Order: sequence, then C-alpha cells, then structure tokens
Amino acid sequence: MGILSALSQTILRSVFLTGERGCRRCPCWAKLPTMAFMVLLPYILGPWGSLASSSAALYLYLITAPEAIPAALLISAMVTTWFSATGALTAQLLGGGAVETGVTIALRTLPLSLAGQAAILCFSPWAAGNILSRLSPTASVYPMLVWRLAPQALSDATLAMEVQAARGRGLKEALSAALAASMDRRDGILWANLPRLRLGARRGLPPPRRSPSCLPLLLALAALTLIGLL
Amino acid sequence: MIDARIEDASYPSRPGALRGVGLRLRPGEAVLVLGRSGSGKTTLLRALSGILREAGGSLKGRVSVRGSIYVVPQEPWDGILGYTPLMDVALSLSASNRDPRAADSYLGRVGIGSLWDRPCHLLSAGEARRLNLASSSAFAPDVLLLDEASAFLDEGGKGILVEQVEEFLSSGGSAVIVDHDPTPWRGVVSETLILEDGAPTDGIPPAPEPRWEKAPKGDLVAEVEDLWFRFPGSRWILKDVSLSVSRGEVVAVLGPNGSGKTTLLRILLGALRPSRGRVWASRPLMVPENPLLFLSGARTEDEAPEELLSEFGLPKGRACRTLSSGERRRLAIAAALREGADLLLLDEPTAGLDPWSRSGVVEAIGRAREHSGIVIATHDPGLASMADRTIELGGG
Repeated sequence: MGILSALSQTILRSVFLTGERGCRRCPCWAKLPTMAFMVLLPYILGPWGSLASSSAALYLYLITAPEAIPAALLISAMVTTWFSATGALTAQLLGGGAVETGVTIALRTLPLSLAGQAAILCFSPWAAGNILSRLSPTASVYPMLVWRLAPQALSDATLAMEVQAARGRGLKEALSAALAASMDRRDGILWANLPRLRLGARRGLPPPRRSPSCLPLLLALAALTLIGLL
Repeated sequence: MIDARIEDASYPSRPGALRGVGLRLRPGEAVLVLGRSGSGKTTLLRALSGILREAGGSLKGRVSVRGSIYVVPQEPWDGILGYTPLMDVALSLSASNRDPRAADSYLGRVGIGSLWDRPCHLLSAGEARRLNLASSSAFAPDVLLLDEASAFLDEGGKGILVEQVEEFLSSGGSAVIVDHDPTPWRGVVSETLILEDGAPTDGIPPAPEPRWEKAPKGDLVAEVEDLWFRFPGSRWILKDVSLSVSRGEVVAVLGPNGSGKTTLLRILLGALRPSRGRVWASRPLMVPENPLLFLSGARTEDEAPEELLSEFGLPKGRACRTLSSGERRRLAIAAALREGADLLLLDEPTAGLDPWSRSGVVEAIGRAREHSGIVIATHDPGLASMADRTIELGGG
C-alpha cells in the first residue's frame, strides 16, 4: 500500500500542483496544435519524433511547473516500463523480436504519456469554464468543480492509505475509508454550495492576475511545426 | 428577513430531529444557536437553507427566507467550489452578479492574498476557513448561515470572522450563527436559541469539566532532531524542529493557520520523508482532522469492542458515517488504543465540538496517555493548557 500511496502522491504532484500559471493561461489555439504535434510526431518521425515530442512536453513542464518534472518523469517511466515489458513478453511468446517490440513501444509510450500529462497540466478549468458559460452560467462551474474535487479525493485517499497502513490494514480498508469520506464530502459540498451551483458564473470569470507571456509556448509550437515539416 | 415556524423536521432514520422551533429575524439581526451535538442545530440550518428535503428529510411547518442565502459549513473544505482561492471568490462574485475582478481584495481582507493561486487541496484547514469567509463576503447574501464557522481558526481568524459578521449585519443582512462558544458573539447577536434533543429549551446544564490526570512519564516513543521539510518547489514549511515524546506525555503543537502542524504529524507517522534531519517514532497512529479517514469499519463494533465503546460513551451497532463529529473522534481514539499505538497523533481533535463532546474527547485523550505518548495539533487553548508541553510553529 506504501507504493500506491506514493503513486497517488506522485500523480497529485505531477498535474495538480499548480494554479493558473505558465502555459495554462495561453489560448487554446496555441495549446491544441502543440498537443496534436506532440502526439503525432512519434508516429510520423519515429525515434526523432519521440525525442522532439518528449522534449516539448518537458519544456512545457519547465515553463509551467518545473517542480513537477520529477513526478511526471516517474509516472511516464512507470507507464512506459509496463507497456514495453508486456509488449516484449507477448512478442516473445508469439515468436517475434522481443527487444525490438519493447523498444518500439517504449519510444511511442514515453512521449505519449508525457504529452498526456502535459495536456492535463496545461488544461485550464478557468478557460473551459468561460467557454461553457456561453452555453449556461451553471455549466461553467463544472470544470472548476472537477479540478477542485479530483485532487481533494486523491489527497484524502493518500491520507487514508497512510493512516490505514500505519494501522496494519490493507487497501480494501483504505479505499472503504476514503469512499466514506468522499460521500460525506459530496453531501457537504452540495449543501453548502447549492446557491452558487444553481446560479453559476453569471458574469463570467475574470482572467487570473497578471497576463503571462505566451511566447515560450509559441516557440515550442514553432519548433514542433518546423521539425514536422522537415 | 427570516420567518420560520418549524413544527417538525425529520429524517427517515431520525424522526423528530427538530420540533416546535420559531424564528423571526429582521434585517440587521442575528441569532446564536447553542446546543449539544445532535440537538437539531444543523437540521435547523438545513431547513432554513431549503436543503432539508434534498438531504432526505421532511418538513412540517413554514419557512420563509427573503433574499439570497449563503452557508459556511462546519467542514471548511465543503464550502469551496473553486480550484484556487481566487477562482472560488470570483465564482461567488459572478454568481451574485457582481464584478468578479474584485476577487483579489476579498482574499487580502482575510489575510490569504498571497495564496490566490494555490490549489485548494493544499490549503490548511484554517486557510480553507478564511477562504470560506472571503467567498461568503463576496457573495453578499441577504442571509448568512454559519455552522461552527470559528472552528479551525486561530485567534486572528476569529477576530476577522466576528468583524465580518458585524459588518454584514450593519449592512442590513441577517445571520443564524451556530457556535459552541458564545463568548465572541456577545454584543453581536440579538437573541439566543438553545436546543436540547430537537426542541427549544431555556437552558442546559453546563458541560462537566473533563477529568484529566497526569500519567507517569515512561519510555521514549518519538524523537525528532533538526527537522526541515518542504514540498517540491514550495517554501520551507518546517525549519529546524526538534522534539522528543515519552509514553504518558501529551505534547501540543500550536501555531497559526498553515504553519505546518499537520505536516509535522504526517512526518511523525512516516507518511512524509523529512527534507533534512532525523525522525524516529515507535508504532505511530494518526487520527486525521477528518476521522472518517481513520475509520475503515462499517459499524462502531468493527472498530472497538463493546467494553471500549461503553468506556468511551459510544453507541453499539451504529454506522460510523452516521456518528457526530465528536463520536467519530472518540471512536477513532478508542480504536487506536485497541491497536496499541505507542505514539498517538491527533489532528485538531476538539475542533467544532460542543463542550460536552469536547469533554468526552479530552477524557478519551486522558485515558489514551496511560498507554501512549500523544502529540496534538490544535488551536484549542484549553486543550493546549492541559498538555505537558507545547511547541509553537510559525513560519516554520
């Protein structure tokens, strides 16, 4: 259970450690093509594309939340190891080249997992809320609520695992405690926030303080575009 | 502003949770509601806020509340919708059709302006409570319902709370304040409503003073030397902390909101590794600020045997989730004792408890010290004064 608790803390640190800063504040028209290039380049250019894509993901982390890089690398390493090891094993059983399959899968999984985490890191619940507020003021609350509750649930689950591990209990007990706490919190949030949930953001939401420079993100986009074209 | 006559408010599992309560408040008036846990205080707030039916309850009588309502709940994190403090306050302003760009100034007024962009799950309980105050003020409701809003606040925070309510009342709002401590509200409220077993009463006997005897100091159960801690990329939370705890000893950890009290407990539990320094603890167990995270059994007897339940004044056969805050904490302490913890770590064990529940929890801690060393993170000056030693954290 210590490993699971550490994993849940690592996920918290890799994507939920920041507020609205860095590339989170950049417009969607810059973020979406950057993410698309990061996903597609490994398929188009092979190993060099994987290198470019991974570098871009780490660069986005560097300009948004450098303190989260170790956690992001750890998660990517775990995902990559899992997929390439199981792929290699399957290839071995089927009589194919285990090493070649493992390396190919790793070269695609590593940039994809880094890009996935970078996408979550760069996702702005504020921007999503503002887009949804054009549909209805109440809809604008939901992206924020998800970003509010997901890390809280992970944080509660982490503490439950730490506490239950100290009691010598297993994962089942930890999850049961975390679930009871989550149900309690769900009821509490609904009760305390009903007026705000019903009204929603009637006047939209302001951009958070200080407009960031989107130049670093645009540089990444330009570099990826050039690599893709060349 | 409020005109209510509640004949009967019930839940399927608890008929007659509140009976025969009348309440009339004009603009600028506030009522203080006192009573033990389970006396119907929260049911009253639910009835006034219109959520009783959504909470599975039923209401006989009439409740008329003119204008908008805002609830500050007992559990600070339940009152937060935004993922950062700035967004939570902006949401309040936007929902009440006011300019959300003014959010900054509300955070500054409650002393958490520098935390504007910190993800809310990283706030301490006291910081979360201050955010509740900022968001309630930003919403500018006509009626404010406060459920143990002073719990988790340090003295500075309590001052801000009372000042804010006074300002709110002078602007023509009405407030229903549930608090176990009437002291800060003298001169603020126009009337007091005392509830006992779901019905109004003229008075209730004072809570008994908890029995608290010193226990002989035994072997060493924890030692911390030159401890430094920070999360990746953040400021130092703990700087050069040294501490030793022996069996039979109670150490209170004090300090303003966000000073690292809970972090110190988690390090002693072994859940966080110190950035620098040495930490040793023998068989530690921690009862978190939310004791549900400790209680993994479905029912009370899954956590402690019948004799222990009876010793701690706890019911047998009840689902843990349906227990009051005080009962949950007492059960967690009883369960920790049953498991033979050498070091018991208690995070805010008396926050938000009525004097009767508090007395029960304090006595439970007194019993536990006969077998364990105890470290308590608390804002409760009464509890701190009963400890053998206190350490003060502040800015690390």
